[in-house]
Amino acid sequence: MTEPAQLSRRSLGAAALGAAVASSLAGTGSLGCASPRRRPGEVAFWVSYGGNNRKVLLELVARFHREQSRVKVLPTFQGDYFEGLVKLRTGLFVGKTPTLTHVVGEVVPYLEAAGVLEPLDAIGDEVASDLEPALSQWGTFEGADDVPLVALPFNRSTPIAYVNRALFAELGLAPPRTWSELRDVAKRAGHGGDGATTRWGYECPIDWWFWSALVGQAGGELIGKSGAVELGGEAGVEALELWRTMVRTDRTMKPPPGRDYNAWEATNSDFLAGRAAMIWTSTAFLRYLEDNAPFPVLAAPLPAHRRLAVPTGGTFFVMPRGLEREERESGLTFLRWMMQPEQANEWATRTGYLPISRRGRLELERAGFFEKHPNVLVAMEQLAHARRWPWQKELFRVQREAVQPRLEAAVLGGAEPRAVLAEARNLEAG
Amino acid sequence: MKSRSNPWFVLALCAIGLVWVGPYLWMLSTSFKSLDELVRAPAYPLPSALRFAAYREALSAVPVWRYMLNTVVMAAAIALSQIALALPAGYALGKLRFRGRGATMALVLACLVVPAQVTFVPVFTMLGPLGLVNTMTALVLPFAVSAFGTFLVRQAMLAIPDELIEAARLDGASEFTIVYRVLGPLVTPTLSALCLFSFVYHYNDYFWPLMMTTDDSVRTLPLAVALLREQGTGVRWHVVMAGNVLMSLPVLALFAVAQRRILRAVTARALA
Repeated sequence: MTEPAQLSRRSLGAAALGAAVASSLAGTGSLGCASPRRRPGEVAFWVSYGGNNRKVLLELVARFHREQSRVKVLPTFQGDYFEGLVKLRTGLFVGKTPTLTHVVGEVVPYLEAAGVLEPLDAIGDEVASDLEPALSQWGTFEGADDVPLVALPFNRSTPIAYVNRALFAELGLAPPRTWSELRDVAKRAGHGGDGATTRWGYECPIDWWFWSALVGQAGGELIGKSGAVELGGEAGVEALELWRTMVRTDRTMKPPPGRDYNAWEATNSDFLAGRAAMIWTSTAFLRYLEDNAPFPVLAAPLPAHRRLAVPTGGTFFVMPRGLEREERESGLTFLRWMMQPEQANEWATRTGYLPISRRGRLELERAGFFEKHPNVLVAMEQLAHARRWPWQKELFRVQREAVQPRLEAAVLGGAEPRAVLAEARNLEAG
Repeated sequence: MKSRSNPWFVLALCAIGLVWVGPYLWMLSTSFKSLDELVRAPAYPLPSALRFAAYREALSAVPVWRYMLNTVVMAAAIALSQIALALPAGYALGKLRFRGRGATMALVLACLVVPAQVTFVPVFTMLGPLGLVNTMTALVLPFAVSAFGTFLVRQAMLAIPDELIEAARLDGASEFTIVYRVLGPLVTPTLSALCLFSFVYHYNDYFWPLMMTTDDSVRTLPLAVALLREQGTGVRWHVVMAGNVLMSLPVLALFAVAQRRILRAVTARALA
């Protein structure tokens, strides 16, 4: 009986003190300790980056600290883009917001309409006028001319095609310029068939972003000028039919397994391992694919159907409304610094995201960067055909709730594309 | 006993064991590979050489030891709190007679099916104004009471004869003494199982610490592993797997130390 009694006493004592010990050991003070208020000059910066992106960002922040001592930036990981957004919305609800964060473009109109974003006009004309037009807030959104500046470009990208250059040279193929060429090239670049495919001609995540690109190429609009959710109309159906035909009839397109970014990773892995001859993914993967492919990688613009079109993607810096003036100024100081050509270029060239500063781009040209990295130039030139997203607060809901969950059913399942899009439109209208 | 020496039986056990251990071995193997190797032959099971570069990178990229301390302290505090509070709750629901006992038990059972994703917003809004967001309290307090633990302890209490409690009362024992000094030791197997389940669950929890913390001071290991993943620019899986191996070490160590006790506890529960 002695041993169990001792165990019980130990458990009791430890349990009674457990939470208090936990708090103090972890360095956060006593149980009732409030989370520390930010000191003057501190900028809480919520980020969605791990790995190399985080490393580059931390190095930039360290350099910012070396160059000045008034503002201290504290970057903290808050999960992926969508987890970070959930947290931001919850934080806004209870008044626990960061000084700065970055959010996907599609959600900016919603946040602005909710009145939770601080206008960033104070960033100054010099910075605002230097932004790459297609990547700035006004160039990214249609119908936002009267909206104050609330978002500054951070990691911006577009979808792009990557091909296995060595394989294409061996097969005498060139990157497709039209949808019909896409189907043809995918057939010729693939290998095997009848369930024994060893190399797929084309692979692309069944994702809203790439579908939006196809809709734009087919001449459609996601949201009409009147604000009605159109989802491309016939163009939306055509976009789904193209993928459906390539997956189910031609059997030349591999729909990667998984959802969201897992599907994107699977697409990259298949390309690097030679299981896919041509993929569509983000320009952000450019450096990763170039560095890790055992073959030369060629980037190519997405093909046209009725027109050339490509959406932009990635995230924007935003600042929650309601900060103290001093904290707001500190945040703006950091943003101004990040928007300068040197920093913008370092971020872009070390990650694969697009350079967002026009002066920065000229500097890269002068330094011969694009000659050494012609794939980056392909991405930049594709911006001439970038389609603007509608400045509609429903845009994010249309993406995440109406369209994204239904794409696979239309491409891989038995659902008819027209019916799927009609259902998505009805959901949004309801 | 005879069936256990049957080679087919042994083979079947090995196959089942491989299903469980396989993913861990795969993770271990991947952590020693180079990215180039992973890209060229992702399905090949063995690394060409034992490389520790991924471990060095994982350790230098994130404050693993700090996160590990936070995680162990958090998981241990939750497990101990749950044990301390499940004992009297289980005792009340299993051994005391009071109006509304059935409804209370139903409420406890209902709590079992409510996931953290449903409750995090109200909890966040409660903790926010109190200044408790981004403290260890925000990680521990919402889980200090466990419906699952209460249910387990209540079931264990039902197996204890009432006469034992009556005898303790006749000897002048208080309810506190009865719960913690008389009944507690008798349900040790259940408490051990609860401790293990709770520790492992909260040790691995990604969602709650992500939502409740805003800086590194109280962050936990699953967040460190997430930090090794890159969003948008390609994952280097060998580094992520190295992080996963590091993360699994404390739990493996716990199991190694407490193996006999845990197995006894689980066996006892199975026989009870």
